Amino acid sequence: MTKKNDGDILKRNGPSVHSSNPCFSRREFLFMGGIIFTAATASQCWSSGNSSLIIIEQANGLVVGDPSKCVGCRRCELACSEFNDGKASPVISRIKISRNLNPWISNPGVKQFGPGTFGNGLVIQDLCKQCPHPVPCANACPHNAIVLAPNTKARVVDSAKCVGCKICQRACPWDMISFDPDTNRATKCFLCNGNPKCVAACPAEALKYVPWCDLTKIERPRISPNTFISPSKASTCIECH
Amino acid sequence: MNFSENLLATITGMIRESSEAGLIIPHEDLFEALGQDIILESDCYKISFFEKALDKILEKNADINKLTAKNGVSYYYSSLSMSDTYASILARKHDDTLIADIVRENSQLYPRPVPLSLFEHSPFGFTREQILDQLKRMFGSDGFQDILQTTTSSGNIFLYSSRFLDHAYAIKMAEWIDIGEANNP
Amino acid sequence: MANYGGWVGKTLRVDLSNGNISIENTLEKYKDYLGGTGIGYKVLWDEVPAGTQPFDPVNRIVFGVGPLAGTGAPCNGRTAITTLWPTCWPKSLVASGHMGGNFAAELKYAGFDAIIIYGKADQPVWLCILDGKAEIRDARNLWGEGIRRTSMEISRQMGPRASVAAIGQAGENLVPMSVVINSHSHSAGGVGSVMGSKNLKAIGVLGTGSIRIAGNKEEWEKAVNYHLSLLGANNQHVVPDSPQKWSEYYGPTRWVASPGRRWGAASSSIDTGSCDPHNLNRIAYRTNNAAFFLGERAWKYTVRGNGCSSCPIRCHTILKVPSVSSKYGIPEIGQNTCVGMLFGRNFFRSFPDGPKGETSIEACMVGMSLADDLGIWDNYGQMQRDFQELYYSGILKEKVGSKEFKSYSWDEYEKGSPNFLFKLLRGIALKRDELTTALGMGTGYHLERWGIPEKDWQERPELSYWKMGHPRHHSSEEAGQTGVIINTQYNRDSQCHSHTNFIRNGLPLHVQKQIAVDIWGSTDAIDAMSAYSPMNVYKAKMAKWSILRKELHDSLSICNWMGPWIASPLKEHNYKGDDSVESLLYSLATGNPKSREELDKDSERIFVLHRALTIRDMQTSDMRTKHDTVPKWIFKDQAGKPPFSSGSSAMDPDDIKLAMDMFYSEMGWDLETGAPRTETYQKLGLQDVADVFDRNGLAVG
Ligand code: SF4
Ligand code: SF4
Ligand code: SF4
Repeated sequence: MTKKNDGDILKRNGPSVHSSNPCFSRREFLFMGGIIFTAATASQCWSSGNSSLIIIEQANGLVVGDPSKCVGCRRCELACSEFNDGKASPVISRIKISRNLNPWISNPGVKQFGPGTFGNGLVIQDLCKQCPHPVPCANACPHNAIVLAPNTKARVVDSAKCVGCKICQRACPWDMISFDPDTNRATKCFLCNGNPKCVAACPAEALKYVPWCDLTKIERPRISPNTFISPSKASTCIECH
Repeated sequence: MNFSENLLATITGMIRESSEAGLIIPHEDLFEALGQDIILESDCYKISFFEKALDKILEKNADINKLTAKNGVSYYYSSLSMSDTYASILARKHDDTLIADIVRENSQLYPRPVPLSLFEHSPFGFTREQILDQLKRMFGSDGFQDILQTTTSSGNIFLYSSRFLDHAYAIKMAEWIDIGEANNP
Repeated sequence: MANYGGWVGKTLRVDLSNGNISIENTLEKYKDYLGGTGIGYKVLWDEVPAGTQPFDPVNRIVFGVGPLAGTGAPCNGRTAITTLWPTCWPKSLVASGHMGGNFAAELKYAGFDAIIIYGKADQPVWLCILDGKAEIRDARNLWGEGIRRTSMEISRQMGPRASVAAIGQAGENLVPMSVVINSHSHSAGGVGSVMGSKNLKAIGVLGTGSIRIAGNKEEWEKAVNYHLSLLGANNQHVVPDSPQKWSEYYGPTRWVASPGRRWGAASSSIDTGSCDPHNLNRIAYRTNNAAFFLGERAWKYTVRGNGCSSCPIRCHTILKVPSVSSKYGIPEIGQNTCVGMLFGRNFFRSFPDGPKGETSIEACMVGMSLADDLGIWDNYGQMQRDFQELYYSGILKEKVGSKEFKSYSWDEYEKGSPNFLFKLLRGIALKRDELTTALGMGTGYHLERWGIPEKDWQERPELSYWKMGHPRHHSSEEAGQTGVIINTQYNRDSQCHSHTNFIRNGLPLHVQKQIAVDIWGSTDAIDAMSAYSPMNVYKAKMAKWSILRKELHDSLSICNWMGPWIASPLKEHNYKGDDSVESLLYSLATGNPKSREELDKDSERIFVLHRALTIRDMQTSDMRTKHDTVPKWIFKDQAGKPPFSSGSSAMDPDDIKLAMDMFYSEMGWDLETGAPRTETYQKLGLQDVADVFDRNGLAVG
């Protein structure tokens, strides 16, 4: 049972940030409920003026699922929320199983099965793609609250900046932003700082932490997203485009 | 005699790797792979040198074990990834007493009879004909009088050793394993 | 009241007669009863008067889960459903059924620890529970539909994440042998008709809430991983069924994974491979109950394992058998486990291609597809055993009359054609004729209706019938006197797995005996199966422990089909597990630290309350002769061997009397009647029970 740690991923991904990199010292860390958030600086992001922030850098890795192995146990969702947030809560889990678990057949009388327990049995794990630039959720956030995490460069919600407006939720084409009703903050996959709890918890080896690759072109959106870009960001975009 | 740490580590690594892959490694395979690295004036020296290297490895690594099969072949495995039970099955795979051995072991240890079908699957992997052949040979020769069979109500054959199990118990357990288990979920 | 984790704190109360819905504080009222069956028994004690019939509006049906349901504690998916049992004969008494699936977890996320339902709606309704609120909704357009369509229809209204527990036509038609099912295949036997009698078609639950883990989250993560490290395969079988490179032992267990055995119908075939117990990321491959029950052939039809929320074991297997779609017009995908999977097959005595051939698998597919949609229960296989016996003995023909008899295709039946099941099973759900009506009543009432004395059934080991309308469930055939004692205690089949999970875990007897010393004090607590020694006190201790663990699990929402975890697959621990893992998880989740002994006391309170309910409703404290009875067949050996001979599971009558004595004294109960004494009730905090019995003359000093 060798757990992939971030080190492995980094090595395979070629030269990248590691903890001795000087750019780390320029970041501010906020420890909130055990989750490390970072207020990213210009070293990884373009910013115009002092507020709008555009994420350019790719993430180092991402978690991918193999639906043919998934046994629908939801242990990943529970690991994500219990081990990170101290509560069992599939809705705040940043990996999404529950919503794909059951029937979803629009006409039960038709013998045409889609995925799910009432269908062909396949359970599809929904995971954050750690989107490349332009990152839909981050760009939509009017408060620059979706930023880069150190080490993994995951796109994460800085809960100190998040105001709970849910605009990011509607911007993600894969509906991967969770909302924690207890904290009134958005939350999304932050790759557990390089040691994904969901991957460690999966009893069927159905999840893997792999070097980042672009799934955004391959996977069909789950919802039609709101392609909102906050005005301040739009002006930053113009600088390049 | 001095052995290069390198050589010892290589051999140990090979043993561990093969165990990891579910195999025991015969002495000659190790020798073939590494013998040419040992430069000594004669093969005879080489062999004894190699033997001593292996002894050293056994002495130094608690996980490395040696098994000698009936035909004299020595096998090595690492208990980091392989149990003695499994290794001993593999080492006896070509012994014509394997089935009898396994039957006796089960009768003594657990204690219970075993279905013929056990020998069809990994790691035995015999065909039904091979199994029946072995049985025929066993039933016809001395030294195997203790190996007996019972047929369950669904027609499956179980084997046991009367040295360790009485008939009534073996019959009852065979029926239980074959039919009872699944009917009493 | 302290702010506990684990529980979500609210219990929902629904009076269907007047539509009143209220919410009460779980902990104020039920904390001493933990949850699950604990809440169920307590509600029945407090609210259902003696003499109530199961279909009376005043009867309660309690869906209870416990503090661990919905958390990441392994194997917490079971909802306990407690009510007056409609197949308990000759008089209905308290019992519980248990369903897995996602319902238990979702109920917690929706904000409730339990639902107490009573009254009777004046037209069909379903209960919609959404984030702390409940609503009674019209179900007239769902009445008459099967469970699958009902579940999908309600999911459509509530959203795909909803968990729906529904009854089928059997429950609607008040067929006592009926189930409620959630998550496609997870059923609780016996209670479908109680829901039907209340005009309650289904309960849909959906929530966005969370369950707080009170303890430190790193400690919780450690505890969960520790528990996972002790897990075996289904039924906590801790050795594989064939030699594996990592294993010292092997035996006939449910740990069937092996290199070369594949989930053949997965979208890309998957080898179950070597499942070293230290690799927690392969636990889900260890078990394939289709392969265990149906044989090697089932591998190629296996899509994957399925099961309850949070459980890595996956005891339900999803099968895809394309031929059944064209042959029988049923979906090619089906799933279930154990008796649910064998439902169809077990009606037949033989199949054209043998007991584990293609036809038997087809019969399973047809059976699952029908029974899990119509919502029929089989009483742990008793319905099928009764059916075979009644048919082949000629009784059936005589009782149903020739016209009805001829309406069935007995040719087809004898040939083992799964087609036979369609008419039979639909008939049971619809009470269509004499045969199906009688079968649907459950064994006790069925035998009575046909004028067959119960004792005829109790003399025949092959019928496995025990008492009060229900069969044995892991009795003398595998656990000698311990199994017998456990089987005397309940008002349906005992459903206890604490003992059998240990006995059948695959370890050599001498290893099991070492563990037995730790748990029950002596190697003598267990024997080799079918080579029993006379009764001793350690067996009584084991029986008590087994029952208390069952009630503990049913109340915490831990699966007693998996626990307890006193053995493990870990050689480095001499295959020992941990008898206090329940207390570890309970303490961390709730923030209410309790030792193993303290939890044992809670479960004893729960079990003794069950006993008290039985005494109250039977109107006698003479449990020993009126309730704790054993069937004659346990004393018989088919080969005529005397008790305690090797290869026989025959018991001895005097020895069983001694066994009951020893058990009663372990429990601190009165030896003559087998009833708990007033002081036992008091010691357990059941003063109200003592008071009631004092008043109505059921007290035993
Ligand atoms: S939350 Fe959605 S938009 Fe944001 S990075 Fe993940 S997949 Fe992309
Ligand atoms: S990597 Fe961590 S944050 Fe992301 S889904 Fe998995 S457990 Fe949740
Ligand atoms: S833990 Fe693994 S098998 Fe279970 S639901 Fe998540 S991805 Fe699927």
